[in-house]
Amino acid sequence: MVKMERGRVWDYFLGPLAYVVLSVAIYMVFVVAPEEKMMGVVQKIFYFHVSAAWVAFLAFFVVFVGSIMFLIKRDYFWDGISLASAEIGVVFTTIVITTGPIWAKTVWNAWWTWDPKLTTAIIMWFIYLAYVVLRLAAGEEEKTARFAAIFGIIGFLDVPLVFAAGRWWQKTFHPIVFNNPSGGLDPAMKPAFFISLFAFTILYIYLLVKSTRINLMQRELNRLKDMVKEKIYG
Amino acid sequence: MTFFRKALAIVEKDIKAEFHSKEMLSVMLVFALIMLVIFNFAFDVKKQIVNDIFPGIIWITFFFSGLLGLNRSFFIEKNQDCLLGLMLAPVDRSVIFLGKMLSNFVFLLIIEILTLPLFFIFLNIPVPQKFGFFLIILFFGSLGFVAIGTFLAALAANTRASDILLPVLLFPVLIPVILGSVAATKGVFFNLPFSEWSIWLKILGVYDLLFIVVPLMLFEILLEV
Amino acid sequence: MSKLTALALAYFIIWTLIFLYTVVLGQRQKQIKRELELIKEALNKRS
Repeated sequence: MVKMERGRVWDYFLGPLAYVVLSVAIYMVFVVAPEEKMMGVVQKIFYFHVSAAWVAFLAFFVVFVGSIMFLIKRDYFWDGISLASAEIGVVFTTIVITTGPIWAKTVWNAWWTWDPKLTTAIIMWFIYLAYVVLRLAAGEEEKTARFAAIFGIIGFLDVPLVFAAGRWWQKTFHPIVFNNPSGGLDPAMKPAFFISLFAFTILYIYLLVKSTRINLMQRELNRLKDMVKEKIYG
Repeated sequence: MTFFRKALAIVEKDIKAEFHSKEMLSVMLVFALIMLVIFNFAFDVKKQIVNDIFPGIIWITFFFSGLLGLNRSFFIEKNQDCLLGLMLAPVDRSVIFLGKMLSNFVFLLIIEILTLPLFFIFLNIPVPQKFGFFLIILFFGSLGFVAIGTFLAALAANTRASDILLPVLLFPVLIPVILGSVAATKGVFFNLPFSEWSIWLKILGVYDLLFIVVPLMLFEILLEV
Repeated sequence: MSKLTALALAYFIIWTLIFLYTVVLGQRQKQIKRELELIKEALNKRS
């Protein structure tokens, strides 16, 4: 409970901070950053598309760490973090796999390119959806946390292999090389890009803190309910 | 008894039980055959395209009928509280995992060996020159499948949703094995030089190793009471 | 699809998804608060 109360302070700080930094990022992207010559305005999708991909990966890494910590310490604080992070990761991966095709369609005239990064993103999406489904289906609270932690570890270890396989798959069977937009980023676009990255990271931390606290409160409430039930009926 | 010998004892038990009832193997076999026929109709397999889709057909068939076996392997133990008996045996829990994995591996290999000739016959594919390579791919691909599959089957069997959960958990994690097996099989059947597809064997090897070692470490936690 | 439409659509999706997630979080918090009040009431009535 003390941990939670201290967390509140962060709320009042992180929320406004996320708001301000996101506003600055949007200003940088639309006003300061120059328009790309070949792709035109659609290139502006890039800033938040890549930032969302970064946040998604970070989120799943946090699930991995949280899962290991839960299995070692058996503290439900870590379970709360893992669940929150998995949910946020799914939201941001959804952003990645929807904005990616919109961009690809206008630039390469194909919705889905099976680019290895996009392939990895959609497989991650399935893995962490499975994580959420597993939590719904597991059963008792202790088992839910334990099984989710196990799957959180397995799922994350799989991601590098998915990426490696996706890369070689494209190399062997779809050897069309698209010009990699992140490689040749104009120096004038870099400030906007890094601020977007920073802004989404702050937003992630804010959502994580908020969501984790809700998960812990939910657990506390369930315990309280059981106690009351016992008092009244038991 | 050593760790490995204990695991083999479980394998022996599973195989004896299966050869006694023949339930699972016969279902898996019939399922694999009907899949073969369905694919033949669904894709209207003609000479021009058979080479492109054959590796996919073969692996989907093996993985899907393998899935039937996986679902069965822990469900059957839970059914009559046999899993509790296994857990009470004076062995490491990871021995149970290794044993179950190996017996699933044996069952899958039996199905593969029985159905493989029929693929060549029904789909009219010439046997590749380097058939030995194909057997190696078959080995590593199936091993990766049963390693992670057995582990997640144990996990799914202990949830409320039980067996319907397994495909959703398993297939996303299995993607590297699916890509690796299919791509390497294409390499063999297209008679490509080894260097062009050897990377897939490496990916399969790393995957197999990783998802045998990690489940061995985590199995104790999975079966905690 | 024009480039501007694509851009607008992409940004619409980004902010809608993030907004929806915060709404879901808010709903959960509200639900928890409501149930806490109920428990409080039930306890008060008994004592």
